[in-house]
Amino acid sequence: MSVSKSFMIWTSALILVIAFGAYGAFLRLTMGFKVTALNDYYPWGLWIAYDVLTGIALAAGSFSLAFGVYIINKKKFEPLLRPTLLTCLLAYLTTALGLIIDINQPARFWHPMFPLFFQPHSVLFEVYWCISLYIIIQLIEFSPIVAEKLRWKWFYTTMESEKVMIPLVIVGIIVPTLHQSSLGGLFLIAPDKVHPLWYSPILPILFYISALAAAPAMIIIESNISSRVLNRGLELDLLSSLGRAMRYILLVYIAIRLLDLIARGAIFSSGDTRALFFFVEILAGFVAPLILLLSERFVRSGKVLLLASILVVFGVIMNRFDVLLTAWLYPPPGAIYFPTWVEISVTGMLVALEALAFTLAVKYLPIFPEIKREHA
Amino acid sequence: MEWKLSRREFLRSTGSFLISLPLMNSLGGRSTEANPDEMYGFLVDISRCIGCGDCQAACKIKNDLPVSSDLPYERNERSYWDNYSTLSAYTWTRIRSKSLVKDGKEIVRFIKEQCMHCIDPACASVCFVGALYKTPEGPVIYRADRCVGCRYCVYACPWGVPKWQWDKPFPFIQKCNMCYDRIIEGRRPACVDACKVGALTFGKRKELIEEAKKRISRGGYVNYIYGEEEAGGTCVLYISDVPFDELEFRKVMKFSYPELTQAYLGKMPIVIPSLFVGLLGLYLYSRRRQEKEVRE
Ligand code: SF4
Ligand code: SF4
Ligand code: SF4
Repeated sequence: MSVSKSFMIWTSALILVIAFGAYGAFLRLTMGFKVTALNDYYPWGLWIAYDVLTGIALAAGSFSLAFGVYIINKKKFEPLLRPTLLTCLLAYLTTALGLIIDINQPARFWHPMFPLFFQPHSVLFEVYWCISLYIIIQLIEFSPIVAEKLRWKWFYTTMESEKVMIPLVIVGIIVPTLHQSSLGGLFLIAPDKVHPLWYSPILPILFYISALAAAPAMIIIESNISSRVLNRGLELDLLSSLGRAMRYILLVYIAIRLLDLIARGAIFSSGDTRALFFFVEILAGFVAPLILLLSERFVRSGKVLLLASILVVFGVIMNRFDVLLTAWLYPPPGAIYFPTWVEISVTGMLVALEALAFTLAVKYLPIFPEIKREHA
Repeated sequence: MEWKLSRREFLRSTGSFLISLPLMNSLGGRSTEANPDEMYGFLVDISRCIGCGDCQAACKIKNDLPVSSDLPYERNERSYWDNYSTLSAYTWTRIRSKSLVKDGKEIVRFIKEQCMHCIDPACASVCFVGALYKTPEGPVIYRADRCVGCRYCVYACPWGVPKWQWDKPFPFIQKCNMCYDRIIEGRRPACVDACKVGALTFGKRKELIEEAKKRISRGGYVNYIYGEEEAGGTCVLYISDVPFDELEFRKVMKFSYPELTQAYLGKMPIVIPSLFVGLLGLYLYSRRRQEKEVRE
């Protein structure tokens, strides 16, 4: 395949962003956290809110699809599996990289794996283990794709056989289910420092369901992008089914969220500017897409589906930022966190790395089966 | 036939999960089983404190901490009496002053701040490598050689005590450790030793509460021991002659914070096997239905 001009421009742009972010990361690792806006009042900022909480929440597509295809036997979704698996795997890998830059002692990232240090009563311990395990599981799930490229037929057939695939898929659903919810569980320890509009004993459940809602939304957005860039048809029929699934997930999410707010009496605790964030998040990010998806005519329209998906992704991103930063009551009034350019550049680097790896993988690996590839 | 075999497989795998259950029971447990009554701590008597700051200096000397640093917030907006505007990685204890009006007279009270040494500390419960650790003797100590620097402890402590050396490229967490090294030698913490007016009393938690009650019953105090129930009880206790609200003490929950995560993590031994059984069952069910469809 000859390298097209647009491909060159795209990859060079990504490499520029990566280089810039690498410089930011270099500053963090040499000068310390002075170059960030983090401090004793804001121990966690953009890197945790975006790279970890959002990055993981938006990477729920892979296990949700695996559930659809392998567990409840909806084989029609099979063509979506590989691209989704790829984006999710990349999201997890960049999350891990982001975390290593974010923690105070990057060289000790393996400490929680060391048996003498085990602390199973920490939610973070569970999150750490589940994310590490899930990266390994996703790598195994991804290996047949590489094997196919390398024409290792025996490996490919063993991996795709039911005896290997089904246990892998089941573990590969349980593990992300646990850490998607546990990311919400992280906040349970701070009942008096997280604003009641967001703090709830059922935060783990809310995190899980909203990640599930983001899963079809991300798949729809990614399909739209790849169909445009790669000049392949849009699987509108499949995407409409996803839209219908999203409709029910949103319905459940909004119902649980509202019931929880009412049960805790927190719905009346609004009154400051935080309430504004809350209403934008709920109305634009969850209620609006639900209304769009309610009509069967809209669900069949590619454009409306895309719009609804973008809104849901916006809602989930905003929710994660809100829980971590907007709801954070501990700092004294006036101490407001806003990320510095270093923090933004590192996050930009992670996103660009993901995009670059995806671009290259699509070019060289059998990700979209119907695209002709040059076998070198 | 196929179905029967699968069912046996199904039962076998479920069984192995059930066997592993007792192993998971340790999830979310208390960090130490030691008796809180026997833990060491100290009592701060706010009515006696004259705000001289000797404890602050003693702590700096004992722990080799710089007198001043360029940390943010540390020296801004402090009131006339304060040396430091907040605790920091280099200030493990500080005297905070509070001006208020009592019986129509303007007065100042001084509050010593440091780690509360919770009986069931949130910081140690969230630390996923056991760097923050509740010793059976009472002090909550920091084992820097384990710390990964996730800063979850900074997030979790109800009083915001753990601070990080944010000016360093690879910072550590810092906080008061109740002078653990001195305590195991049978000595009192440096700050307690430095106090010349008897505002700080070192001892076992049970004795401290008795002493506090005795002083309260003699009169002149508000009838409240801050730390007796806060966050499920702390080893550092306060009594005062003015209400704690007016001194701007943090209002924290009166139960142990780790219970909140325990309520969640404790469900894992049920959730994980149920997920496993549910998914496997769903898979077998839809496969059988599909086979039926194919046959028909
Ligand atoms: S006051 Fe904070 S740092 Fe001290 S023991 Fe309690 S939770 Fe830990
Ligand atoms: S920053 Fe260090 S001490 Fe604090 S929770 Fe993380 S690993 Fe533990
Ligand atoms: S107990 Fe020791 S470490 Fe803690 S404030 Fe007093 S002198 Fe400092």
